[in-house]
Amino acid sequence: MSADSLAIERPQPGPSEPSPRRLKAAGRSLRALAADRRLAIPVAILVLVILFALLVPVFWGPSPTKQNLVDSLQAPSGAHPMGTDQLGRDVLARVAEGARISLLVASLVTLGGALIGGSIGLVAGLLGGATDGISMRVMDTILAFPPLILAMAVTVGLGVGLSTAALGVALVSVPWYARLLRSEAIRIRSLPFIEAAHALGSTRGRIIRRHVIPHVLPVLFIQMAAAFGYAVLALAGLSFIGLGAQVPTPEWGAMITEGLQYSLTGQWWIAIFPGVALLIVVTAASMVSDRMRDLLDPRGQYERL
Amino acid sequence: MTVTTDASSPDPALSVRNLSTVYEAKAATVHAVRDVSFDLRPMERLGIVGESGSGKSALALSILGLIEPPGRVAGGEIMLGGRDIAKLSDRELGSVRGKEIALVLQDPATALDPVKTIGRQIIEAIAAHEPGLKRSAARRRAAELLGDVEISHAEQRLDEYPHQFSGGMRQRVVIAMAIALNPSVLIADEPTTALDVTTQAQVLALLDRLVDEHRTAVILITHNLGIVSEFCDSVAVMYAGRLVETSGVDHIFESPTHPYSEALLACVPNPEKLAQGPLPAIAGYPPDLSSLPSGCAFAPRCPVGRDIPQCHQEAPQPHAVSGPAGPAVVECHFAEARIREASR
Repeated sequence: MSADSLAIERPQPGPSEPSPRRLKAAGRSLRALAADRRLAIPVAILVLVILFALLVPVFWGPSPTKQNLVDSLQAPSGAHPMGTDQLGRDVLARVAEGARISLLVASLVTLGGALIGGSIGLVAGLLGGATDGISMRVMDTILAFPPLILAMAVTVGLGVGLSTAALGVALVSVPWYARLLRSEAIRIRSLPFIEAAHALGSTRGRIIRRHVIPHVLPVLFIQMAAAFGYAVLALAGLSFIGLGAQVPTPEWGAMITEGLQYSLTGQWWIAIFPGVALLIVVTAASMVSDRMRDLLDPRGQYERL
Repeated sequence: MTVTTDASSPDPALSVRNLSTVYEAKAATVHAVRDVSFDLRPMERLGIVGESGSGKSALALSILGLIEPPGRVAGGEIMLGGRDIAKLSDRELGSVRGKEIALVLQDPATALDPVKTIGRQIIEAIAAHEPGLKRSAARRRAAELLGDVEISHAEQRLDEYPHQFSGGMRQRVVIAMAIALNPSVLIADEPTTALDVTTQAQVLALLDRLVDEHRTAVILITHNLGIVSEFCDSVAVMYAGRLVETSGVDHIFESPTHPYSEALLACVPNPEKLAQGPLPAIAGYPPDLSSLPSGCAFAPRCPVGRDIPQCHQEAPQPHAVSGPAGPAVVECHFAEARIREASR
């Protein structure tokens, strides 16, 4: 190919649609994910839950917290598809509101944990030495506690409530991110192309931004998907035992606690619907995480490269 | 003191003086590069040959300031473009590496980031030194470079990933990145070892053309004397962290003066001699670089000096000699005597 012909903008050959190049490169891995049915199903379920959480409170009339004792403990019907609870509140409205709370708080917990834990891991892995030793021993200390017990201790220590429960769950997730990204950083740091980039004048910060972080992102995403499901479950668990969201907040765990006593007397719908919602979200999140690991795990790909 | 093929050489592109590199472990200190000095003229192609563990790669990494702890450059000067780059900080070196002196690594399979397109990696190599570069201009430069290293359909291939390239093509991409900014010195650390023979020849021919066009001086590190004879103008034989014989390329093949050079040359497989018996080998092992003998490092294996007390007690100084095929600097007590013998 001569230099002249290079200067001319040539049309993209082949059947691929003319998309911006940057998108094309990023799109390739996204397409691989999108084309996978075993991933598409749980993702679709999560999308439906999100739509449910967003749309139901807008279009469904009854308030999730307004009491109406005349209509208390009604079985599912046209007026109340999921029935009403002991105070006459519409369970559908409460489950939808609970979905908002669970998804939002679990997302914040996941992002926060990933950001803090990931940063600690990257710094420890890249700097090594005393930084590595000290930060990893701190992480080991956190890991020494059973996760839910530690989250409970944090919640009790800082004052019972949804935000402290979220803090507790986030803290518990930090060492997992830190350990994962530390080992990834150490592995990537020693790969020859890092040395090659260094030899061609890239500075340390540039190498971290351009080479190390893109490499750890897939692993980080897999861990985040798994941690998201765990966060939803742990938050509900803490609320279930009364340490998380407090009445009258329609949090799933708290709703299950309230509904439990009525399930023995036949009003099963109060506890079952939030329970099913919880089951769906946690299962879908762990399916996403599992499938992403199969598709994105860089270890499998390096072998082929 | 260092020899080059002609005495009236201009200012060297790279001048290394008394460079020493050590790796300090708890148990021992390994002297990987010991007091090495040499000059590289502009556009010269210097081959550095030696066994594994002789310090060739450590020398290359030392010049680029890429020695990682526990190793460190213990002393010496590396003059490049009028200043001593051994004294620069890592940050300052960042603007030297790639721009004035570049490195091509041995294995192209791992020298490229597997998750980024070829184009982005070439642009990255340019952008590291020209931060304000526009995307479209950088892309055009990258395509030109790919075309320059004889990769067809360069424009399209920019968007492909390293695993879509063959080994030889990958090494050409690595070379494209190394010459992107017209460095005055290119260090190629066994650039063709991971490639098969045909590809090897293509890559070498390409390198040959490019360094000519870009007027780049090359240090080619290899253990393949065949490559040296084809590609290099001059050659330095490295043994136990020292350059034991430095000369023009003709000298080393016609009258290797250091016994180690001679032995190395005798080990090159020769189809005619193969029929007569096993491959020749140099007896013994390279010395332990953490506890070197006080005399000549090669003495225990040397067919000449094995039994001579002087060789075991006294480290040989560099001797400038003039052989039948040009001058040489040889670190051997018997350099002059051996040259006289060879001339006869």
